[in-house]
Amino acid sequence: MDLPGITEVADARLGIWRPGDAWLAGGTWLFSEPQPALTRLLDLHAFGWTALQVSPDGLDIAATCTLAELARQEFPPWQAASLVGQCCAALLGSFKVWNTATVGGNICLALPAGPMISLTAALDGVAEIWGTGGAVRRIPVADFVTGPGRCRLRPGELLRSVHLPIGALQCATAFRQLSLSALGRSAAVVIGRRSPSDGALVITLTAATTRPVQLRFPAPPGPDGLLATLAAAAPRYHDDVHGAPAWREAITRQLALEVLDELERL
Amino acid sequence: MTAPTGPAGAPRGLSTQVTAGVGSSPRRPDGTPKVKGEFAYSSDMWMEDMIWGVTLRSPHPYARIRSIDIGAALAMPGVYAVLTHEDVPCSKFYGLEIVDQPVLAVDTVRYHGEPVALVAADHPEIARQATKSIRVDYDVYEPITDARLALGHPGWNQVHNAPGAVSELSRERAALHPQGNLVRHLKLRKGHSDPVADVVVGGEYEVGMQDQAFLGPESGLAVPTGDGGVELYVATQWLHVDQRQICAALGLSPEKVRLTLAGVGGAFGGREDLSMHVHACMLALHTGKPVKMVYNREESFFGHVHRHPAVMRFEHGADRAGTLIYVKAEIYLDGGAYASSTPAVVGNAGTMGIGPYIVPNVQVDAYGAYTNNPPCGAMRGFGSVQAAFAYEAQMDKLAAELGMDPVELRCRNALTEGSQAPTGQVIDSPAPVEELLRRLQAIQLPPQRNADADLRDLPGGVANTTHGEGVMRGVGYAVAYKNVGFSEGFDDYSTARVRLEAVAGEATVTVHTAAAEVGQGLVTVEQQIARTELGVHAVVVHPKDTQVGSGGSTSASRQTYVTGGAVKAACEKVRERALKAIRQRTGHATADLRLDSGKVISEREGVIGTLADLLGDEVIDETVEWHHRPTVAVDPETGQGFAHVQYAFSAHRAVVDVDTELGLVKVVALDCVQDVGKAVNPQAVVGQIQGGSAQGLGLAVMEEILISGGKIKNPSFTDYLIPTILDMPPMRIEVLEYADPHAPYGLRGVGEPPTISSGPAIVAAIRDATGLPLQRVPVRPEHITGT
Repeated sequence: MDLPGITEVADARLGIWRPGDAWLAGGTWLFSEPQPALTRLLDLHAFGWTALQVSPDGLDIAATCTLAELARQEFPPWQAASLVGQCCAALLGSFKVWNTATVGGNICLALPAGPMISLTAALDGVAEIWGTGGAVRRIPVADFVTGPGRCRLRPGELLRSVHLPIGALQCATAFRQLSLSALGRSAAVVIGRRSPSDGALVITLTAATTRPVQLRFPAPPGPDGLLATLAAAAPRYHDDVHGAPAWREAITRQLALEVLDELERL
Repeated sequence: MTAPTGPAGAPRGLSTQVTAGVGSSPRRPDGTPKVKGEFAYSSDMWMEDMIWGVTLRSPHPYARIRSIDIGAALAMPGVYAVLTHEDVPCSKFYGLEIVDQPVLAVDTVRYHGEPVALVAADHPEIARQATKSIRVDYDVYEPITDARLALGHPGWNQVHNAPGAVSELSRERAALHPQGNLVRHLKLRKGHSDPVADVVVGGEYEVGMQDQAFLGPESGLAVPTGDGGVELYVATQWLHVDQRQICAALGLSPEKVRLTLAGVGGAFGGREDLSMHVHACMLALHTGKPVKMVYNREESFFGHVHRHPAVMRFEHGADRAGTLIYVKAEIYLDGGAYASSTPAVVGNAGTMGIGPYIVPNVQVDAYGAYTNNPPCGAMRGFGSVQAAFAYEAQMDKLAAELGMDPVELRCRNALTEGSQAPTGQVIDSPAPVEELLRRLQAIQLPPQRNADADLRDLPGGVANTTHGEGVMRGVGYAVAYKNVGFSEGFDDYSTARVRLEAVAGEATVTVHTAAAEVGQGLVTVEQQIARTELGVHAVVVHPKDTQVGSGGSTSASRQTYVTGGAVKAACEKVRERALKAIRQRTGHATADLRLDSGKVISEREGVIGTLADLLGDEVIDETVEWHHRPTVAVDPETGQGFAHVQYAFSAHRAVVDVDTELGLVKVVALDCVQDVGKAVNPQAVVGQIQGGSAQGLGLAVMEEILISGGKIKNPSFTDYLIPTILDMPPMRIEVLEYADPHAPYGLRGVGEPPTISSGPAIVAAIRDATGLPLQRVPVRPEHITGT
């Protein structure tokens, strides 16, 4: 760490949040560049949260769970479990980052290409947020991220965990991810899931869009229906060096059709 | 010759025994430490009492500086110095070819990231914070970011020799430099001015700005010597030209400014210009303390020149049999804010601009322009790389128009030994252009993709974006040539000092040159040559510094040729003296003696003793300044003349799979045939071809510095994409060795040609797969999907 402005790394359980503080989980972004506005880090590991908890209701992922822990976990025979590995592999990072970066950090960083946003949004994940006064509130991850680098955390709030409901985990899924270079930053991630009970279909768009976008269908809509719904949703496509908005829009349509086709054939 | 002492991490000399000479592939003396992470790069140097230098850079691409207030920064605890242009002791400007670049901005900034002020502090973060306290009052102007507009060319068909004279942009502000916005115009005129052809094809082409993307950022350590001078340990490409420019800025003699090459983490042309050199020296002299400067990755993108973006218009005419009748071309190169190597880049783009083909009538106009984009300069294959994308696209277009095979068309018009380059220069060494192409054709194509192809072998890879649907295969060829060494009358030379002595009972050679080892393997080559010429095993490569004469630049594929030639010549002098001394001691005629494996061998009597024993206490020390054949400046009106000392040739065949629905490209094969004259180190030759091909692949489909309004949008390796091992296909490489009779050992420069022909071959293959014209590189997915 080369953060000369930091005067203290404190136990997050004991520190009362104040301006100049930052929650420390994996630190892969915090330590990657100068943070002149920060004076203290509040270490979330002090909470000792269990990384992953499987229950009849689904899966709870602690904010401090690393990508490596998530990827190594053996899950019950949920059809959607394959998404975990696919999304972890979509992270642009070295093995060091893989072993250090956390699910919570990736979500709170709120980059369009954040693969944990893709995973948890696609599975209707709900973020549990702790406020400074002990208040707890819950927000769907798809709504938690509001734009590139923006989320609904207020000053002093922290992301405690994400709950993935059992209903989503039991869905069949289809995954498409695309980047300009092998293992590069995602230009588009399209994830579909189809309920085994009623055939309902959810397609979640991330990376190509500035924030998660979900398209819900009671049954597979067919290509025209999908494209019409997508057009009506009018997502805002992200613009950076990893892909022009028009191209991202085009490939999102293409990948969404592929996802639909794959899930329709089930 | 003893290696100097210096900071921790300063080079100490490389002494791994080389057990093989010219033509073999011994282990590199720097190889093992680099692989083990033990090699000290320039950013690893350290000294007690060292302080840190940081640069304040312009946030604007074009602005007038009204005032600079350093008071708050200077008052910060831990800050030792804050310097501006007023503190530059002597010449406030520097430059490789044209002295036009301010050491620190004087009254105008001309590009985003231009150095404005310096801070020295006892911690780099304190120095960075101090730079933020410097108040610079700017009067911001609209930047000029189009080379043609900067030259006053609102349309394609105007040609102006006097920049600005008829330009609608020739207002006071639009003239970025007092001499106007034209850096150089090279005119090439050969044959008839208005030839007639049966078939004519034309096209406009564009090449983006590529970065050298070396891994070791700019860094160095300046140490005051106590006598008013300074020692600079720095990662660079050309010690003596650095020294010349530093001396001019500091007002010191060369004796007072000593440079030593620190560990270099890649260069590719990006270290040919100064970066932190003068700045660190100024801070060191001002504070009396050693000053270290290390750019971070983002700053590195602002701290060195890049490859010139180009826009080009070409027209080719041929008869119905496919024989080229004429080529006309206009090439506009964006030099950015300062000249750097732009004159030479324009020279190469112009004189090499039609490719390795025989063309009786040529009309080329190549321009280099000043703009408010980042400065552009040397980068592997410069000038030729840009032109090759255009002329090879044109050859494919012409072949299609004629209904000919593209390789047949190229072979029909290929340069050969004895034919004339467009400069009128007769090619006086082998030019096996046709053979390169024929051999490429003979290499078996990779098998067609089958229905159950591994996802990893498809565009998009494991992301599961395709299982083969929408994927089209294409094949493309390209051939290129490149001048080796410095051209157009430049007195290109290198200096080598070679010392032979007995050390601990073994004949030992020390080779001392100032030629920069930037990762290409020159130190190994120097050892190989010394062993071959003097028949010894123990060869010490002295640290590279300015205590010996200039080695010239590590660029233009020239060091094995020129510094290799210098080492060879110095060794020959040493050998002559050694044999003379042995003759005096033993009575053997020198013609009867040779040196081999540390022994002195008589042709008649066999081994007569070890070289160490026969040398005794004698130390033989020779220094040679070796010049290659002179070239001449081309005629300013016709571009005719013996411009280049040597040409090197390479050809590539690319096979690609393109996902036409998503715009993704997978390069399936990239095979290369190259003539190297003599493979001095065959393994290094293959490494150069692989590396150069990867850099060409990068420009073809991945690499581009994106500029918007003069500002760089992607100064990081997250956002500036370079090929990794996952992007490079396995390469099949054939190396030809047709000796150049004018070169040491018959060798040719190797490093640049594969960078030139690989990219156009890949783009040709994508065109073949998609049927799209693809006139711009890098080819981006949206160019393929049409979105």
